[in-house]
Amino acid sequence: MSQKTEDQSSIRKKRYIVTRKTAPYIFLFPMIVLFAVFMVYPIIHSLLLSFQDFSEGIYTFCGIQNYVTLLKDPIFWKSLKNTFIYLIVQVPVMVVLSLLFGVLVEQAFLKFRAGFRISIFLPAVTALVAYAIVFKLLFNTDFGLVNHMLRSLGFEGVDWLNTVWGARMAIIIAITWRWTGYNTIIVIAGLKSIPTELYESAEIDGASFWQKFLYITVPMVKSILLFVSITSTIGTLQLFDESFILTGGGPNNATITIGHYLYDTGFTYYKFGYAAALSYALVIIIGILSLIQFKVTKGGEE
Amino acid sequence: MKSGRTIPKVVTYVVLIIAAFISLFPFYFMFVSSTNSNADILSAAPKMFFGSHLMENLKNLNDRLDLGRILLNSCILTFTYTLLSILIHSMAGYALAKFEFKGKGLMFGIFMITMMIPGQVMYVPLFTLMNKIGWANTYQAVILPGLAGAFGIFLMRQNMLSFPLSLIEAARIDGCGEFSIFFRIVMPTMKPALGALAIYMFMSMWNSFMWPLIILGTKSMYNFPVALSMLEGVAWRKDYGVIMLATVFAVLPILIVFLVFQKQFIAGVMGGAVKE
Amino acid sequence: MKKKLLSILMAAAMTLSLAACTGNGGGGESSDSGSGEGGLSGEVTVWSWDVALAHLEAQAERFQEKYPDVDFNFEEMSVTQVYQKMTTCLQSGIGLPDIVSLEGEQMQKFGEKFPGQFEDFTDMISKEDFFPIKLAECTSDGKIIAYPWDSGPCGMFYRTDLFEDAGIKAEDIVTWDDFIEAGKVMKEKTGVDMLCMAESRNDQIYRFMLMELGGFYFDENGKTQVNSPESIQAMEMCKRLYEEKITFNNSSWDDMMAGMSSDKFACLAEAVWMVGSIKDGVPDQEGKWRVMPLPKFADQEEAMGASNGGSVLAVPTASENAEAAKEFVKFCMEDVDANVEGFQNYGLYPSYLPALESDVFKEGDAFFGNQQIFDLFTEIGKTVPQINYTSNFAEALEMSKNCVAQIILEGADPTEVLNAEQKEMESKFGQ
Repeated sequence: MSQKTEDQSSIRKKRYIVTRKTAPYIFLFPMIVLFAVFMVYPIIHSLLLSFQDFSEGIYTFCGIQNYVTLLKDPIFWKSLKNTFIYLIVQVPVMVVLSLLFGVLVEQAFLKFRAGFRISIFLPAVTALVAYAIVFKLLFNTDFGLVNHMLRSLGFEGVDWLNTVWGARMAIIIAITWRWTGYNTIIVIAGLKSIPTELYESAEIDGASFWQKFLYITVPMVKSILLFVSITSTIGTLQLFDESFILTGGGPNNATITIGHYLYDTGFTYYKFGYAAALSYALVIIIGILSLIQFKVTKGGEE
Repeated sequence: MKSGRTIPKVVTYVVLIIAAFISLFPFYFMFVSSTNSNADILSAAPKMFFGSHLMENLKNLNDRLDLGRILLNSCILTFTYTLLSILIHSMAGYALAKFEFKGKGLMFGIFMITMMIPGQVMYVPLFTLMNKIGWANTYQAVILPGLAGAFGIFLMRQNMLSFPLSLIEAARIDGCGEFSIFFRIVMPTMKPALGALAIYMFMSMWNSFMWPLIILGTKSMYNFPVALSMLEGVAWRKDYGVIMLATVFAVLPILIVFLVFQKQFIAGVMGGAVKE
Repeated sequence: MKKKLLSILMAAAMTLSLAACTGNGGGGESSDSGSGEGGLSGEVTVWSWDVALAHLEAQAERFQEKYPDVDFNFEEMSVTQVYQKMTTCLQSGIGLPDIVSLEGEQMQKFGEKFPGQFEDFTDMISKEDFFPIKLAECTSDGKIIAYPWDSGPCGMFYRTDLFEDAGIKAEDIVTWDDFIEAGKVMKEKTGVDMLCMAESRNDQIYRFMLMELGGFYFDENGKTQVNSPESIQAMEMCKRLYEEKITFNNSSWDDMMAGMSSDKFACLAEAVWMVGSIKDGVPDQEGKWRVMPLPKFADQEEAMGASNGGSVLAVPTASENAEAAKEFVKFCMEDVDANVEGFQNYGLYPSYLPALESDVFKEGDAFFGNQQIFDLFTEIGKTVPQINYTSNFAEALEMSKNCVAQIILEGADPTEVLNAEQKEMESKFGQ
């Protein structure tokens, strides 16, 4: 379809320096300059680093040694596994919750709509310190509020931060708390763009809430949901704060993420070449995943 | 039968009230803690009500940080960053969405790949670069590398894909220049996307920590996150009352901006695209 | 007594001069009193944290009386901030300060990873005046590349009131076996856990025990030895402590402080700097705390001391005013009054032995029932062996924490886990 319009437009008069031919380059120019200087240059630099070994103050070329070490590093595999656990559990939960909250907040009868939107959105702007302290207190085994509630409901308390799955759950809950509201707002933006006539005619046909939800809402916001899940995937794969602050990666590396291990390697152990290799491994993983998500969902889009 | 068509009101309210409560609780705790002493906060049953240490915490905080200066720094960084992003990223996104040109696919691909590279690994080369061009400890050194990120382009391109080409063509036939098409026709209809971009950029710069910490050398240039982390000092001497009060100051501006502009803000993110 | 009076007067004078100078932004009037002292000049930038920075700032005023042409620029940072900035700055060689405070245990990493980037103090320092362990921290490749500052000899803090309730006597606890037996009584009679031990997040108790036995992760040449008999013995003792169910688990510092204020545990093995934190954290427990040496192992005549934390001061060679910076570091570190002031005003427990001879350190502390705790810590500090932290300490520490979690929480066999750790460390560190 775009081919056709292009042919038509070639008839237009060329009165401007900024022509249709040059326009895209001009529009892109500032971005390209920024990108080349502050992105491409450091990336190439760090890619080269990943083939070097840093010791005694100098870098020496070591071929693919860092990548070989990486494949044999148990902590790398562990961090990869943890990250995938977060990804598989957390991203779907968050996408579903965002959609749920989005739909609920957009119910026509709702009062204090703005209040609800803001409340749900706010966790995304919390300062990290407050967030970390509150969650540490909430998840405390002996006197945390979460265990207190569990116990009063007749369950046993969980040793949240000291057991493998307890700590992982704590991280998953924390990320979900922090980012669901942000994604909800994006989903709402998508919901708003659905023409109300669609719902009205469905109602005339006697469609139930669930039918409307499944056959109108979900398909209409599919691209938004894709957007939300891709950004969440990238965010989760680069996850750092929660592992670093809430659990310190423990116990026994059960919660350490690739992002956290990467930070430790570079900024704490001073293995700069190895850290660069780790981050390129991460890039490859994120790339593959995004591609899969894109391909899988694209079929329905166009 | 009616109940089957919509969600029962009670359920909606209950779910949303629970969600709002859970979302707001840490904020409540933050405000309460800023008026309590360190011992109150770290006791087995932390104080959940406002205490009497506000003035003391304020005095301690004031002794250590120049709050006005930090607020100014944070505002300069965040507003410049957001405005530049809106301009640069939507221009780039527009070019990628609505023009055909050589290397377009490749360029978009490269942009996308860089989105996946973790920032940590670029800090050292960027730091060296900034020092070489004499930009260490400046605002632009904080702002520009973030703008080189591709997220904004991705967001804007996705949104502009659905912009009807016929409108652009019609404008061209009317003799509109490319720039005026972009600024007068495309941009005004992109409000929702620009709103989403603005929120994202605003938040990420307001909360950005690692890079500002590395590139900003002096206290008078610090933004809120860097200044806050300075307060943490050493583990065994943290005063959470003071830290929480500082956190309140860091979050308040966002809250106020949000509360005052929430109507425009939300309309911006959600307003019907071409309908307006 | 005279000395104390003098130091109080000094401190008072300092405060006054500090108050008088604040307006000048550190510029300092060039009084003629110091002009004869030779030509040190230039601006010295200092990166440090919290009270450490405050103490250096106070000393700078004194220094300027002697060297009026030296200006100071103090940048306050948190510990992590210092490391994050040092990482980028050292790699690019730009933006480094003239003086930086670092944790002693990390100093060898800086020395080995960035050789020649720190000024050599070997000929300047009076070696016999410092705790041997602190000198070991500052030594890299045979050179002393930093000045020892505060030190962290470890003891066992305990609650006399809880001990009395349980009918336990501190003097009866000599070995770890005694400690465990007493712990069982404590748990039975009062329900309180005997020891605070971060099972899943820290290897502290294991590391202290290992040092008591004269071992460490590495031998004197830096070779990994985590599966040494000492290491296995220490780890097995940790496991026993846990299995006897007499430990309070904390997953963070804040947890520990909260547990302390709610009487969850009776003992805490920690370094001398914990004194200040206990006083700040639980002011209402005044008079209830005492300190004893860490229990030793049954087969030991005399246990070695354990050490934890404490900082050092280093001067990067990139400094344009290295001379002034070095002189200032020596001025602060090798001065009895400076060290005494740091202790009195900021709780910085020095590693400079002549200062530790002062009366202040011999006095009883009211919070600790007038026990002469600081003298006790000085004696412990002298018995800490010279440990080779190597450049791999940070990574080894993380791995060691995970071993403790595996052995204690997952019930793994200490020998097996430590053998596996030995292998992993050897392959990662190449030795």
